[in-house]
Formats: sequence, structure tokens, C-alpha cells
Amino acid sequence: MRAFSTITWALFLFCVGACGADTAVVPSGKESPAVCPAGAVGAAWTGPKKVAITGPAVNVLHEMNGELFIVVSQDNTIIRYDPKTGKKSVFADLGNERGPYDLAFDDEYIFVTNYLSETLSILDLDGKIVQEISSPSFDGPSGVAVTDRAVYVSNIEYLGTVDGYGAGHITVIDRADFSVVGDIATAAKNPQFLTVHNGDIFVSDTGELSFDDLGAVASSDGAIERWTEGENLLQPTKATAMLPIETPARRASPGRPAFVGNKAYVASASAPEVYVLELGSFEWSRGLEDPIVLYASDRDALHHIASDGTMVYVSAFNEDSIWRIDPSCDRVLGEPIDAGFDDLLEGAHSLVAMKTEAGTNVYVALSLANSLIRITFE
Amino acid sequence: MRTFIGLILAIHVPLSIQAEEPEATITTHVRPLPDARVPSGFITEVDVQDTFLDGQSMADGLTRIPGVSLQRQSSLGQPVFARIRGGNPRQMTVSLDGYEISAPFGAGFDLGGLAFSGIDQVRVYRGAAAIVQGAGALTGALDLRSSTRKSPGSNTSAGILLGSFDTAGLAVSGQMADQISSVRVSGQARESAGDFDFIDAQGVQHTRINNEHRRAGVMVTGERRLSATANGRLTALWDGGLRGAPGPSEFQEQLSAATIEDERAVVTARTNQRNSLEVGSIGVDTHQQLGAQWRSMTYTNPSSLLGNTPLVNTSNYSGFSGIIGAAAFSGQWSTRVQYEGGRDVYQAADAGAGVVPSTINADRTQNVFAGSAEYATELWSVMAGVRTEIMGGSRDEYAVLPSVGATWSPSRWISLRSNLARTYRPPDFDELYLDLETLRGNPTLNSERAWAADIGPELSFSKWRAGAAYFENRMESVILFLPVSSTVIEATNLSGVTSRGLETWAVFDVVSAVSLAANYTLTRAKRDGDDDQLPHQPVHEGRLGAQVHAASWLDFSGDVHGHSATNLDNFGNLVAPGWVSLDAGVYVRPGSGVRIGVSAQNILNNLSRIDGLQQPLPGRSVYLSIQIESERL
Repeated sequence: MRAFSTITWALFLFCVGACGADTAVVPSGKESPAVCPAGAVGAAWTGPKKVAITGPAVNVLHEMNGELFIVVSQDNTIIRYDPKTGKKSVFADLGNERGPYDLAFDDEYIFVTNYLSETLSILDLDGKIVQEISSPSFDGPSGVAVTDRAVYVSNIEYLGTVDGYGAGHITVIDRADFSVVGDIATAAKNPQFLTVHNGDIFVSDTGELSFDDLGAVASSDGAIERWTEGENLLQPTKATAMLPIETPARRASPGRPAFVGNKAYVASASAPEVYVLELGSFEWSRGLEDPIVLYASDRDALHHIASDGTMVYVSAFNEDSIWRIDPSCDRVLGEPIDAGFDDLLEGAHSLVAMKTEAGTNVYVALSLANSLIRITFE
Repeated sequence: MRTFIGLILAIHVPLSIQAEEPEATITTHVRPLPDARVPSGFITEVDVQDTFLDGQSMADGLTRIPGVSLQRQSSLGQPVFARIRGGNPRQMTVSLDGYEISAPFGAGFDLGGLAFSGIDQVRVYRGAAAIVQGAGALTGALDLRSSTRKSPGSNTSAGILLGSFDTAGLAVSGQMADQISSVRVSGQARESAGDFDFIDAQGVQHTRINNEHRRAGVMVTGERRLSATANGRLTALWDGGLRGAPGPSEFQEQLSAATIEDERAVVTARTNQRNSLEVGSIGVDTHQQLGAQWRSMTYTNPSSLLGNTPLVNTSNYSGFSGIIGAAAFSGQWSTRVQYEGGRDVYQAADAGAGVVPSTINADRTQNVFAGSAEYATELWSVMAGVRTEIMGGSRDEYAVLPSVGATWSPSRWISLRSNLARTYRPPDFDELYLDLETLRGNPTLNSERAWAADIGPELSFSKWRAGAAYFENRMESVILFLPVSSTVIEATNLSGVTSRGLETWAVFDVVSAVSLAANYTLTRAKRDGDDDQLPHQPVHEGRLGAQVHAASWLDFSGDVHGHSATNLDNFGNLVAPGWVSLDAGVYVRPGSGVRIGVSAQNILNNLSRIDGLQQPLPGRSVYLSIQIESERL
């Protein structure tokens, strides 16, 4: 009788403490039909699978030499994740008060913009902080890009909820000695991101964002700029593709581009839309008049975009989902794929698509859920 | 890693080493307490009058009660929130001598900053027992109890506190009583720089800044016998202070000048009449209570985190209520009826350069009709009640809240209690009407409702007592501020939350001079359909301590308390490690009326403790107190 009671209590305590534990079944989806005449079928997929805990408020992921580098804004850290081993480690502790926003790298250094401290941290490839640059030119440093000759830092000049944004500019820093060369004005406000593609610098001018009852709304024009370095670093050759809006609207608000062939795909930071820029003519083939619409939404939306060279993947922050676009005809392929695990918003944010021998692994930072997930496409 | 440390328990710290009669056997200062309104309820009273001189907040005494968790934000004088049986800090009420003082806004009642010098005990209502405290007490309630001298004479006391983090405090109290009345006036003032070293999540040591606080409070309590069968009681207090409002530990400099200044004034009066009516075998007691309160708070941040623009948030709250009730007794039956009416008015404003101004102007009226009946024998009792809450003002709704309870005492040494009640919490004003650009209330919120149930035995012998309770709270429409998009955090109803667990406690008087006490609570609190423990709620929590009355002039205390790891987000991803704290005290009475105490907390100097994301807790602290007391009979 005593043994029975003991067992009963033990079971009771165990159940109160542990019953219902996660069985960790990874979802999967079947192949979906092609949507483009010459396009591929939508690959079967498995995921999401949580592969790492990141830290609070991940802002961006980047792939470098087969590893992921994760900017954890609220922890002031850069996390390194090795997809091959599944090992995660703190690559760099940038120090308090930094608020890191983005990073760029070359074969010698990693450059991290610190939004709150208005500095640029320069790390070696072991994560050691080599130098931290501050400059009167920095005013909300956000995006960063590096070429052989220069480091470019975008400054969004955020003034507050009433005054919005300043004009925005890019700080040009000499790559050789890290001295500030000067500023270059941007074509539109809020130059959030910088991307180097084929040696050119692409500037994502998201435009001013303000708020209404349903969240963020674009209140100024957006633009994608392409700068080609000239002899004078402060006078690049520019091409600009505007996304003009007439009144505050949930349109435009371009983010960081993803490149497939001779096209750049740009997702909106206020609307469930993706725009397509022809790099040859530098004109929109799918602009504001004819965007690729992912889904219907009355309220604000935020997306990031990535490509493995053959397919475009778009994260939808407010939907916790991943969408695919077939670039052969610029149409949405298949159904959205859940990127979250919970009925609470987890915030599918920055993503990276990595080709493997078996297919493509798409890694997505769940910014609100403080984790990194993987969706594997066969 | 949900480290299980709740069972690593040692010895128990007394909050009051100074017994009224030092020669008497030491008590544990934690007492299960029957409340005539809910005789089967799990209610415990804990002494807190000496927490001030031990360099602790009133809240620290609550760790001695199973089912209560504390969430500390920083050092002494900074906010401490309590949660009861898996509920969140908003889901419990706080009252002063029965008059609710927890205002319906904010993140919960801050127990860390109080300078309520006249409070001797805190009465903790857990689970269904809190139904008697009405709306807001979804999972529990605290009642802060003042007291006055019971025997004719007078006594005065003055104590000073000096200690770590540049802490200095002064507490004075004077009491006098005659045959029919008594009065107590007490005051308290304390300040500290509060800054301390800590180790962050990356293993780097920093100094926590902007923890300064200055606080003072005055409290007057009077009691008077109005007739042979009636008495009256008046309690009035003022409490106010200024403190730093430190930001997340990773971004301290950005908020290094942020401050919160607040004031509170409360007045409550109550009269009780025994046998005010006798009809045959029926006797009727009656009572009346009035209360009024006012509170203001100003948050100032000269340089807000984004945009570098100054931000000022002000709020003013006033409320009053009245209660009239009667209890009728006839043989084994007792019946209670009560009416409560009240009104709350809340005004808040956010303003600052570069900030879109935002205001809230809201009010709430409350009419409550409550009734209960109990049938009691020597062996058992059953009670059933119903409470109807009718809300008006800015939002109309009502709630009907039934409750039942039973006790069974088959012998002198064992009893069994069980309760079931429907509890209710209407949304707070900020949950409904907050209107900042990225942080918003939701006027369409449903009220929270819960079924709260518990059952448990209590054993009582000459040398030891022990008890246990299984509890379960099934909560509906739980309100949380949650991200609804990348830019907006909004008050949102969850579909359901269930908390269940086991509370255990034991007290053992080893010899007349040595007393041991322990408690352990297992709590599983989850959103329905999800397996992750709710943020900030430990699964395992416990305490073991001892009091030693070594000589008439010397006392020792020791205590280890702690909890297992806690989640810091809603997804079980960010986790704060569990921690234990070893505390101890030595108290010497070198002469009549003089008491010198040295108390130390977190003696092991763990610098990595946190209860919230990027909210480190201080390392070792030591406090010296000297108290002088005189009495005239």
C-alpha cells in the first residue's frame, strides 16, 4: 500500500512537472505544381525546425563562408551558427549601449553598424574588436557595405515620432585606414540597407515610415539606388529607381534586394508586395502598378527577401510565414509555409537561403521568438 | 536548461526576531489563518514589520509563503512584483486593512518601493480564497494589515539602518492606548544609491546604474471602542518617493537619467458592531467601511531610447469606495451579505519633444452584491457564496461569481480543505485605452475569468505542523501586451491559461529555542495548447530556514531560498538560470530596549542572478540596524 502511494505521488509529481513535453514532430509539405511555363515545381519541404536560440531582437542574418552570422540587437552581440555542426557561439560581444543593426565583411574584417552608439565596430575574423569608429557623420548608422576601396555606412537620421526622418546619407570610409572620406546624399529618406552586388553598391531607401491605427505606413517615396564607384569615392555613378507615393500609403518602403540573374527583387516593409527591378534598364518590371502581391492585408506588413540563385524566398513578419516566388515568371509559387510554432506572433524576419547538395536550406530569424529556424527544400 | 534548484534549501530567515515576549517559544511568523468569510480558504499571514531594518522590502517576507513568487527588478527600493499560483502580477489585488489600493493600471502592484511603516503583517489569499477580495483577484490577493497597541500604555521606538549600496534609513513609531482607544503613528524614510556590480549573459562584469531611491512614508492607525459591542478603526497613510528607472542592463546609459516620482495617499475607516440586532436565536453583526485614495506618478526620461527625444508620462488616479455588510448567526448556520460601491478615475498623459501626445481619461464605477452561507459542525463545514460585480463608467459589464468551499476535521491533528470559485478581472485602464504609437490598449478586450480550485490537508502536532495543497486555475481571456505586428504591441486576449501545482509547507519547533520552517511549490503555468512555462514563473521554488533564540540577548537566523530557471519570453527560448540566495542575521540585545542587528543577503555573492530579461539583481549586501524601544505601562 505504501509502495502504491509512493508511486502514485511520484507519477503525480512527474505529470504536473513534465507531462505534455514537446514531441518535436517537424512539419513537412509536398511538392506544389509549377506556376510558370518554364518554371520549376515547388519543392517539397520540411520545417520549420528550430536550430538555435539566438538572443533578443535579431535584426539581420548573413552567410559568410558557409556559416551564419546573426546580429542580435538587444544583446549587443554577433552570434555565429555553423549549419554543418549545429554549433552556436557568441562570436563577438560588442559592448553595452551599441544596438547593432547590420554587418558586412570582406576577407579581413567584419564591419558592424551600431545604431544606438552611432559607431562602426571593426572586428577581425575571430570576433576580436579591432577598432570602433565614431564620426560626426554618423546619424543613425544602419546599413553597411564594403568594397575593395571603401566601407559605406548608411545613416537613416531618425528624428522621432513627430519629426520623422531627415534626408538620409551615406558615410564613405576609406577601407585602407578607416578614415571618413565624406558623405553622399541619398535619393530618398531612410537608407536602411546597403548591399554589394557585382561590385556595385545598392542602397535601399525605405522612405519615411509613420504610424496609423493599423501600424506602419509609408509617408515618403522609396528608392533603390545603384552606385558604381568612380575615381572619386564621393562621386559614384548613380542609377536610381524610385517608388513614388502620393499620400501616406501601404506601398513602396523597399528593403534589401535579392538578386536572381539580371533582376533584383525587393520586398516592401509596409505592404505584402514584392517589386522587381531590371538591372539592365534599372527600371521596375513589377513596380507599384503591378507588384507581386503575396497576400491580402489591411494592416502593416514587413518582409525580408533572399535567394538561392534560382528561387526567391520572402519572409512575412506579421504572418510568421515564408513565401516563394518563381523568378522565371515572377509569380508566387505554392502556398505560404509556416515559419513559426506558436499562435503568438514570432516575427519571421531576416533570412538566408543556402544551396546544399540535396536542395536549399532557408534559415529564418524569428525575431520575437528569439530563435533561428530552418526550412529545408528538397 | 531548467535547472532544478528549488529543493536546495537550508535555513530560514525570520522577518521578525523580536517576539513580543522574548522568553516565549519562537514562532515561525507564518500562520495559516482562517477568514470567517471563506473559512476553507488557503490564507496565510506573515510578519513583515522588521523587513525594513533587515534591509529588505516588504515583499521579501512573501517568499516564506508557498505559492507566491517574486519578480525583482533590481536592488533595494526598486520594483518587486508578486505573482500567486501562476498568475501574473496584474492578476492579484492588494488592499490595506481590507480597502483595495492596487490601482487598475500599470504592470502590477509594486511591493518593492513601499514605505508603509505601520504594516505589521501581510495576509495572503491564494486561489479561490481571494474571491472575497472581489474583482481583480483572479489568482490571489494580499491584504496589508496595520495594528495598534492592545494593552494600556505607550511605547516608542526608533531604528536606523545603514548598509550596502549606500543605504540609510530611519524608522520611528509611537503607540499609546488606554482602555477604549489606541493610536499608532509611524514613519519611515530610506535612501540608497543602489548601484551594484553584476555579470551579464556574456560573462562580462558591469555596474548597474540609476538605482538610486529616496522614499518616505507616514502612517496613522487608530482604534476606538465605540460601545460595548462596537469598535471603529481608521488608517491613513502617505507614501512617496523618487527613484531611478534603470533601463535594460545592455542599454543603461541610454536611460541613465530616467526617473519615476510617485505619491500615494490612502484613508480608510471601518466600524464593526456585534449583535447589533438579535431576533430570537439569530444574532446579527454589521460592519461599514469607507476608503479613499489618490495616487500620482511621473516618469521622466530626458533621452528616450529611439529618437533621443525627452519623454514624460504622468498619471493621476483617485478612487473611493464604501462597504456595508451584515453577518447573521443562528446555531450552526451563518449568513453574510455585503454591498460595495466605488468609483475609480484615471487620467494619464504622454508628452515630450518629438513625441505624439497621448492621453487617457477614464473612469469606472463598481457595484457589488455579495452573499454567502455556511453550515458548520465540529467535524466539517460547507460554504457557498455568490458575488455579483456590476461595472459601469467607461465600460459596462457584469460578472456573477459563485464559490463553494468545505472543511473536514476528522481529528484534532488533521484537517482537509477544498475550494472552488469563479474569479474575475476586468481589464485595467491602460490595457483598454493606452494609445501610444507602438504600444496600444484595446477597448474590445474581454475580461479575464477563471475557475480557481484547491484541495489540501493540514497536519498539526505539538512540535510541528505541515500542509499541502493542490491548486488549479483555469483562466480564460488572459490579457497580455503582445506584438501584433512588427511595429505594434497591443493588449491581447489569450484563449486560455492553466496553472496548476502543489504547495507544501512545514514548521518544526525542534526545541523551544530553535524553529525550522520550509516550503516548496511546484507550479506549471502554460498557455492552453502550449508546453512552455509562462515567463517569469518558476516551476520549482522553495525556502528552508531557521530561527535560533540562543539567549535572552541573542538571536540568529539563516535562510536559503531560491527558484528554478524561468523563461524570459513566451516561447521558452530565452531562459534565466535558477538561483539560490543564502541570507543570515544576528540580533543582539545588549540592554533593555536596545536591539542591534546585522543581516546579510546573497552571502554567496552570486552576481549573475536575474528575474527578468537584462534586469540583474545585486550581489552580497550587509546591513546594520540599531533599534531603541521604550515602553511605559
